Amino acid sequence: MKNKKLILLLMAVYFLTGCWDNQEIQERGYVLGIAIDKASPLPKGQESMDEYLSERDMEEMPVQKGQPKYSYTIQVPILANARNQPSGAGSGGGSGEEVTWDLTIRGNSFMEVNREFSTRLDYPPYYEHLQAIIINEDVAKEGLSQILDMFFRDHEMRRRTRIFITPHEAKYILDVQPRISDFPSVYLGRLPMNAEKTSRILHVTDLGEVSKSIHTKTDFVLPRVTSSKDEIKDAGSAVFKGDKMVGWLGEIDTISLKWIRDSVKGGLVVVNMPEDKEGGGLVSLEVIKAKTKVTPIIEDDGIKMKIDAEATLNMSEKFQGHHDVALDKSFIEVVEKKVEVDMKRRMTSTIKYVQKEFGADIFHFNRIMRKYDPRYWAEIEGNWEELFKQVEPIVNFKAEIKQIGTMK
Amino acid sequence: MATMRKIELYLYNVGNDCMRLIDKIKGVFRKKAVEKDKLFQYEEFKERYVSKSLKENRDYLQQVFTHTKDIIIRNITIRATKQNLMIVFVDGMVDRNVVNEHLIKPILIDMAPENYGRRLSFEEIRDSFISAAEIKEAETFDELVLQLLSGDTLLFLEGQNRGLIIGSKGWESRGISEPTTEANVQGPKDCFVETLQNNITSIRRRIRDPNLAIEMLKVGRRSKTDVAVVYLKGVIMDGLAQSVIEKIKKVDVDSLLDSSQLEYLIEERKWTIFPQSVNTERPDKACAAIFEGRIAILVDGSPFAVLVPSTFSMYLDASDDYYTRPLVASLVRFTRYFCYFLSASLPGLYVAITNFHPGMLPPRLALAITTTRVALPFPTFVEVFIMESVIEIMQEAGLRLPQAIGQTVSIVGGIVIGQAAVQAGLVSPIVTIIVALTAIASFTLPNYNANLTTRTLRIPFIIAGSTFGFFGIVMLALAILSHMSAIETFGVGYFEDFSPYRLRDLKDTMVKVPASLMKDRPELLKPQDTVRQVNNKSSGENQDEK
Amino acid sequence: MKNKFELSSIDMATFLIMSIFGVRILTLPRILAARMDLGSWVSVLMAGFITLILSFMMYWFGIKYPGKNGSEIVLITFGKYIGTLGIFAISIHILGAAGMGLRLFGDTLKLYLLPETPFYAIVIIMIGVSFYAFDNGLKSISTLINILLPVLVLLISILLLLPITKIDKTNLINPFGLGVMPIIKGTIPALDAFYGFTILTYIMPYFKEPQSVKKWIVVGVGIPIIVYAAIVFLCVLVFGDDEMAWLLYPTITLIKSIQVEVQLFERVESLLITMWIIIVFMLLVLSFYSSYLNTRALFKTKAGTLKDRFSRYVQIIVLAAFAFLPKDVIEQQIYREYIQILGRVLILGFIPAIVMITLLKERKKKGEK
Repeated sequence: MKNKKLILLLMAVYFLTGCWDNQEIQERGYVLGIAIDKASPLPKGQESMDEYLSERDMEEMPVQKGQPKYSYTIQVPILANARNQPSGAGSGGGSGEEVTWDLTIRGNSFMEVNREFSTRLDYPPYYEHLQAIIINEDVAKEGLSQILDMFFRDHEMRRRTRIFITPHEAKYILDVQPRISDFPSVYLGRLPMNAEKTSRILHVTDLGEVSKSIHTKTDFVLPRVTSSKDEIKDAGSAVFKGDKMVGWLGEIDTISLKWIRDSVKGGLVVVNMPEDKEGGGLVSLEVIKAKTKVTPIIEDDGIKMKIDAEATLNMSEKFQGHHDVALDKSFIEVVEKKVEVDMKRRMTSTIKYVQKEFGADIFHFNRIMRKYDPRYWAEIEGNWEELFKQVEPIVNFKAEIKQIGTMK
Repeated sequence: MATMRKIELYLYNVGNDCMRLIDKIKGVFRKKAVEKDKLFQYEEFKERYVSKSLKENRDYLQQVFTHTKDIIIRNITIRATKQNLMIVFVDGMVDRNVVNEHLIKPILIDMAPENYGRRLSFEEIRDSFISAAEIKEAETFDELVLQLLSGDTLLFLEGQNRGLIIGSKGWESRGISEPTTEANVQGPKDCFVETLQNNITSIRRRIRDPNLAIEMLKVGRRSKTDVAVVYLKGVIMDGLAQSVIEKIKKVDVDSLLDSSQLEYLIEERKWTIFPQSVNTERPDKACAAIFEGRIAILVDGSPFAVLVPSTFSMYLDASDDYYTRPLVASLVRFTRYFCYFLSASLPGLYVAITNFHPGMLPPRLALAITTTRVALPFPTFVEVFIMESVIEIMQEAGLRLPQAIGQTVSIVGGIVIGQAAVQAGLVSPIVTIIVALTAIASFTLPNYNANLTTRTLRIPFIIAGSTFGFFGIVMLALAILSHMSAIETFGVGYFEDFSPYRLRDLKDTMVKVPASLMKDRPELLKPQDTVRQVNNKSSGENQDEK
Repeated sequence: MKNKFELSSIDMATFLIMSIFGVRILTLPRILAARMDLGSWVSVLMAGFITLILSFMMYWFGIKYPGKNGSEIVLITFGKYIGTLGIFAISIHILGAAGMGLRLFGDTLKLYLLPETPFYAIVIIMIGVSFYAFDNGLKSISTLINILLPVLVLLISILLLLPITKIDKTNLINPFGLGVMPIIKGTIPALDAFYGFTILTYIMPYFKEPQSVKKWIVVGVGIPIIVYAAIVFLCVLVFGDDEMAWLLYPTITLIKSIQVEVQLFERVESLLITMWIIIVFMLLVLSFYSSYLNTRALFKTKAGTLKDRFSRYVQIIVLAAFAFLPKDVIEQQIYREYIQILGRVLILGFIPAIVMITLLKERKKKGEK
């Protein structure tokens, strides 16, 4: 009995001396955003000169294997200078001070670069609150799976971290000084939440999606961001085939894309007024409910996709003013018809455009095929790339206008 | 006639003197069995019988009580019959009124004329002359001395080898007031006092069942404290009363000053921080427990009754739950359960999550906490420890404060120290809030022992949280639960009302169902008579018939 | 005053539920998805049905030999030599499965929660607390289970309800799309998840009314069936079959992907990790208990003697040995495979064998009469 207690005591003492994972909350370097660009190649003949690499530029690092291909930038917040602070915790910095600290390192594998950051950052990097990953266009064109593998595998990463593609240098996005929020990564992370207001923003675009798509060999899209000094704009999308980017898709096409994929959360449809009125103005309709159903029709001469879209709309703006009364059944019917024709045209043209330009099945037709007829799908799976380009879309759009606002 | 009388008296006196002479001679030959500083034990009192000689009795008593001066021995002589009586009592413990008016007066003054001059026999005095309510007889000194020291009056008659014990207890006692530790908003507000008889009266007033059993025991070698074991015969589990009484009888201590001492001597596990019986100051709570099938133990000198067997939910039970609306009471009870766990684990959880897993917090919160901690000198663990110690110090100091400076210290301690420490940059405001919140949460618990339990548990949780993070906290909670599951009081487990799922018992634990649904007594106590009430229809149904 | 402790009938259900929820919750979706593509959850249902049949068999011979637990029945039915072998196999299986469970738990804990803490620290704590809980006796264990069960139910319901927001409807594929064979093939691995039901024979002797336990068996097996099937189903819905095969621990990833816009604990995983720690803890406690009874049946010891104490402590050593045995993740998989195969042999072999032998013996007796 006595021995038992002694052993327990010793064990207790031993455990108390080692709180292995204990790390103060303020002693972690929270990484809020990551930007990945292409690294400019080193001058010829000097690739392995240690002298050239070491002292010249903090951003260079000797890599263990291969050549530095990418330039990674992480964004760490400087909390003492944050503007929106809980009161009583000290005064916040003025508007001129730096709110974030962006570190850039040129390297090859992200894990290695990540550890290299620890040579410059006084707190170990911590990724559990990563808000956004921004990737440069050129990097995306070379393929995502190599850079993103660590993000999939590491336990600290969240599957809900959003990814964005930008045509400019990704680093500039992180340099944006937002006016309301404190940190650009947080600002950027919250932008897709506006998907309820417009369909030009893609909202299901996180690491999880990309991981799923790459593993199931589906093509996917990621949102496009561009920036100015203090603003970031998120609209349009980048098309990926396999895991390489093949091109951009404009804002209007993105709208159609969302319709086809049944992922519209909100947005607008703008149509022309019927032409026989004076001037022919515009009517804007707000999307309240949207539902799309895609059914494949397998025929001998090819596969057709029947796309049935249903939309419930509210009329929110009408250019004609008081010349036309909106509370008129025939008027409403005319507008509904216009919407249907317009949307049908747009969606068909988007599909054809994507088929011709990219040949990437971003509409998830392959998943639909698989769901519809798994046996048939198993047969044609290998040929899908070719077959996709020949799929004929049959679009039916049904619009229903429910409300017209508070005026006639 | 007068001369005859004179001769009679003279002879009587001579006889008395001879007796005294003989006593003195006897005393020379009798060994000096008594020393000056002898200590007396009740065991030897048992052997000593009342002697027929009043003087011997008086001498013996004076010997026993040489070192105290508040034992009063009053010699009474009935003039007419020349009988000598001796009255002994303790000053301060007797009700003088009883002694004067009802003991001495009837014998000396109010004697009816026809008895004047007649020698009174012992039985007559005992049965017909003393107008006190309670009279007992005793032959040996152990009972006489015990009752004398309990506040009764002794009466000795010359020539009798028996003594009378007349009940005359009356001492200053605290009046029935509001309970100091268990306040309630609704319901009765009387509480137990230090006198056993008053407490039993409080209970008797609420339980007028003739089957109410009150067993009296005396515990403590020197204190001979009265202990009453109160229960309802026919309701209680078979054998429970016997085992409790046996356990109490086995207790062998010098003194019993408070019911909590008895509580700790009859419980099964000594080395645990969890209380195993409920103690309460309120008679309504004690009576409710008796009605359920539990036993209440009352100890003379202590205003706290001990309720046995007890289960965990009793510690989180306040009488208020029974006197307010049931649905509302359920919510309040739920809060109390939540507070119990919260006040033990919150500081530990805070340390665990901020140091080990800040990823669990939403980013805004994590960044906010980080911002407040940026310039702090101490690691979280030390900070929490310091603030916890400060709160403990303040709580302990608050108990001992004289009324006058109570306000000052609470202001100084609470506001100034907390605020100043935060502003000086020594501790973060969040830690202050958390520590204050846990302290307040622990006061929602109605039972003081439960309060202390949570305070004690806080420290292991902080240690577990800072060595192993969330995992440590969960494991510690599981270890504590395992420990609590193994505690038993008199055959009833600690968690008996949760453990096998019995609908009857669950009705009164975390939630409180309306009173009309509580038809039976809790099954966990295995009562012999299970029905509490017959189905009670609500009165609304009768209104239609008006 | 101290009555011999007896379980009430509801306890059967609670014991079963707790016992069946092993660490399988973590890897079940992946194992199934790796074996077959569609309809994994239907396999789970079928495996559950088989479990129900097997538990009724156990109940039946528990009633035939009142007061004896499973190991003793094995000894009686098979005679001394085969019976002893059987007991050894049972012991290895119980402790091995628990050891693997502990190992898996430790690895996952180190991966997600406590990266730096050494494995042995986690093991010591888990074993220490579980052993203490087990040492307190059956009444204490049943009390623990009854208290922890509602907590578990609450957490599991949260786990099941929250991801519904993230369902991708295109993953909703007809389970019978590729035919019935894959589902049948998947039933055997799904059966591995239900090993815990063997606790039934070990607690049968302690019931107040053994006869009325039947309906609680159904509840006790039925609820885990539904929960397991729902978890697999949800994983399929949220991730899709292919992706699931990639993830090592799909359930955890599912948990992590739930991000509720709630102010305080946005990442609900903390609650669910609590659930998981509780499950592993109970797994260890119940494994200790069954293994202890098993060992006692072998040595025929009486409670309180030195041999009895020894047979308690030896469990710790064997369990810890199993936990430390595999060197890495891949070896762990291999060991788990072996133990699962052993388990399948025991369950699908022994139980029906006992039933048949008992029936034969009875017929012989009737014939002799």
